[in-house]
Amino acid sequence: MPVQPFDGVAVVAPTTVRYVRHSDKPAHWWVGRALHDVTAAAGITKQEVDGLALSSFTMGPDTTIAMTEHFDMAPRWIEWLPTGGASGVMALRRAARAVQAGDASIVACIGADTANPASFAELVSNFSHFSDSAVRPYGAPGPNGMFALITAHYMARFGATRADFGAIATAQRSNAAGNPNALLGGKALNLEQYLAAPAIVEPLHLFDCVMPCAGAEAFLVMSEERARGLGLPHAVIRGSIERHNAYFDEPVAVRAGWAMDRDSLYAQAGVGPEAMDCLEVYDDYPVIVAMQLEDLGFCAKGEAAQFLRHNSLTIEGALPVNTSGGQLSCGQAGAAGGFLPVVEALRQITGQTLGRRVPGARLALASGYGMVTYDRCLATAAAVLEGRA
Amino acid sequence: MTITLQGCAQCGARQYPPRALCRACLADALGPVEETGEGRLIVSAIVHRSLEPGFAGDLPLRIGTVSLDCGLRIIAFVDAGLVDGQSVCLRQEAGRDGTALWYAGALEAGV
Ligand SMILES: [Zn+2]
Repeated sequence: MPVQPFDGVAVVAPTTVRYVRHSDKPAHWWVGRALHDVTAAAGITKQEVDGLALSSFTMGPDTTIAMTEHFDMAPRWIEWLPTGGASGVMALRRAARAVQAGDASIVACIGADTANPASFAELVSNFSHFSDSAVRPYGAPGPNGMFALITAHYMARFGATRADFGAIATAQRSNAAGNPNALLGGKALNLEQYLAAPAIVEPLHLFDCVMPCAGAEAFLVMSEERARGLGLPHAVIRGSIERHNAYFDEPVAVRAGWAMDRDSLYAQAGVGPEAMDCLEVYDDYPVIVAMQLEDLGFCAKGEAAQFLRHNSLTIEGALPVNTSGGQLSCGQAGAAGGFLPVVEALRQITGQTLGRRVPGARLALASGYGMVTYDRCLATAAAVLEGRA
Repeated sequence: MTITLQGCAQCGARQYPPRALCRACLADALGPVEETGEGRLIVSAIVHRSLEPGFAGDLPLRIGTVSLDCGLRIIAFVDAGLVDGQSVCLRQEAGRDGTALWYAGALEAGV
């Protein structure tokens, strides 16, 4: 049975609760602010929200159900997405199906996390059974350790250099200029600075790693009819994919689930990667941006470095990528980082950007990648979105 | 040198990290099995920053992915002098807290 189209579904109200480096407020505050802001942006009340999809790492032991009580809501549909970097696209997909089926009429999708000096180390040390038993004893490198291995392996296998990854980090920093939400947006980054940064887990250095922070990202999913009735600029979903634990037998990850499903994605969308006006991908590390360029069909496997030497990822460049600056420049607000690709794609194609806009952007690809439970992330998801004025 | 891994008596699968049931056939027939520790150091990285202050005095530490001849991959400490891609032998030694940890070393001559 072919994938059913996402007809009739609108995505609206891209919302960002301003990131801060540290917060003494609980994750619940960030969820609640996002709910406040996303409903205000759409001109609705929270009583009209009858579906709620949440993702957070720091809300424990609470999940979505506890938030309904926390904020006096009685939704008829809820979803909890403990899938980090893939949770934004996954929330979008589930909310869209709920709206199509009539199980909910307006779904608020929110990724939110708080951050304080203790929360990140605590999170990493309790992230999964496998990482606790089989990674943590080896110097407690956290995700940096596993992605250093993936990066080193990619460099050796495909001839990529640190400068190639630097092209990603510096392009994204350039894109962050003008985005008031990017915590590092005001700090220019050139290739010399990138290369001279201190080592974290070699070959990863400081500017390969995201800065943990607190923040929230959110959007609403409803019928197109409802969105038009509310007078909201919106996007439709042209296609979407999701995959977990792809290629699990490969000793070190050189690709992920997108490679398995991208033909379906573009068949659903009726267009190919060349039609995208911008690409919003998960950027926990530059190598993962490179991997998505390949696995989502913008260049062949192993050729991202060549692609980067000839194509700038800046807003003015051949292929604008992570136009908000991405997590590498905004900061990684926990699960909100997994919502950033969807929210920024929606901003670009509906003309609601925080910073600069790709002129005339209409088609965007949003991609997610999450959950390093051992030595790679397991979850991948992507969606092609089209803006409708 | 042999190492002990978790194996399935029903289908013969080996697995790491250990699981509650066989990852391949889901049988409740797991037990320790001896395997050669030989494999290849696929890639290594050098940890300069740890998330836990307890490791600060040990840094930098070299870790790597070893692909065992039996098909499993294991994150291990890597002995000095090894280069990525070379054949190695895994062994277990007690770490600081007494738990057994994996170390990748040179393949002994004549083995
Ligand atoms: Zn078995």
